[in-house]
Amino acid sequence: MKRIKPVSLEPTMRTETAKPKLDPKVARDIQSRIGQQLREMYDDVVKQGVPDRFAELLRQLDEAGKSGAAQQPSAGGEPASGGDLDKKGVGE
Amino acid sequence: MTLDPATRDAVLGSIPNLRAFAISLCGNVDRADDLVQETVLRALANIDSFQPGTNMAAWLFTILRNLFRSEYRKRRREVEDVEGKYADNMKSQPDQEGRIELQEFRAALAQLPSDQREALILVGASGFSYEEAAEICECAVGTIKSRVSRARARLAELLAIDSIDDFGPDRTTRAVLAGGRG
Repeated sequence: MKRIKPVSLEPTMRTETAKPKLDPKVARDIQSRIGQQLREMYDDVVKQGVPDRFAELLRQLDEAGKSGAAQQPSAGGEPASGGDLDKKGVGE
Repeated sequence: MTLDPATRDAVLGSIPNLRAFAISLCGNVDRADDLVQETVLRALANIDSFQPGTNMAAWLFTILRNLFRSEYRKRRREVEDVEGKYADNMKSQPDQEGRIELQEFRAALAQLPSDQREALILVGASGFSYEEAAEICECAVGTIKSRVSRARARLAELLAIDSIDDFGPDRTTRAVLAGGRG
């Protein structure tokens, strides 16, 4: 019954953590803002959709595929390191 | 090899997300777009190794991340430079102007170690599960969880400091609120 001593309880809890802790409510607010801003930042890019260069790239790949496999780097080993597709795709 | 329309659409549909992830990795829009292009080329050339029915987005993210990391190893010095300018690059995007809060957020994000940043973005923004993120980063689920949680804690620290500063005259009150009544 007389175990609880509200006055001394809090300081004891405080000293358990090495550095000053954020108020839990502030911490929650900050976490939800972090989530929001993270998505906002990310969605700014997503909202830009598919830039022309990629639509064009896929269109060219499509045509290359239809007109025969001769131009394809079908050896497949290291496609990203260059080859015909790379030259055709980068239309800067 | 003809490009199967369903595959083409799936790749096209993933591009906005791939770009957002790539920009978050390299902090530079032009380099990010090159990285996405390389990813698309590599993915389509190796489309046979994609298992239909599995997660195409996760597969593409894995390729992009691996390409970025091999590029990173090749051009370590240059990329470190880019990392240093991460926040500045982000600020120069036109539609970010005037959004001070978001700029502060980017600056804070830029201070995280890259493994924590990518984990946080995959889970918190790209919408991947911890399991998918672990697959993309080729590590254990627990590792992803701890990276995300460390990233969040560090960001909270950085942003809390910022907001206390922002409050100026009120900072004593905030400090009392944050530190308890001492």
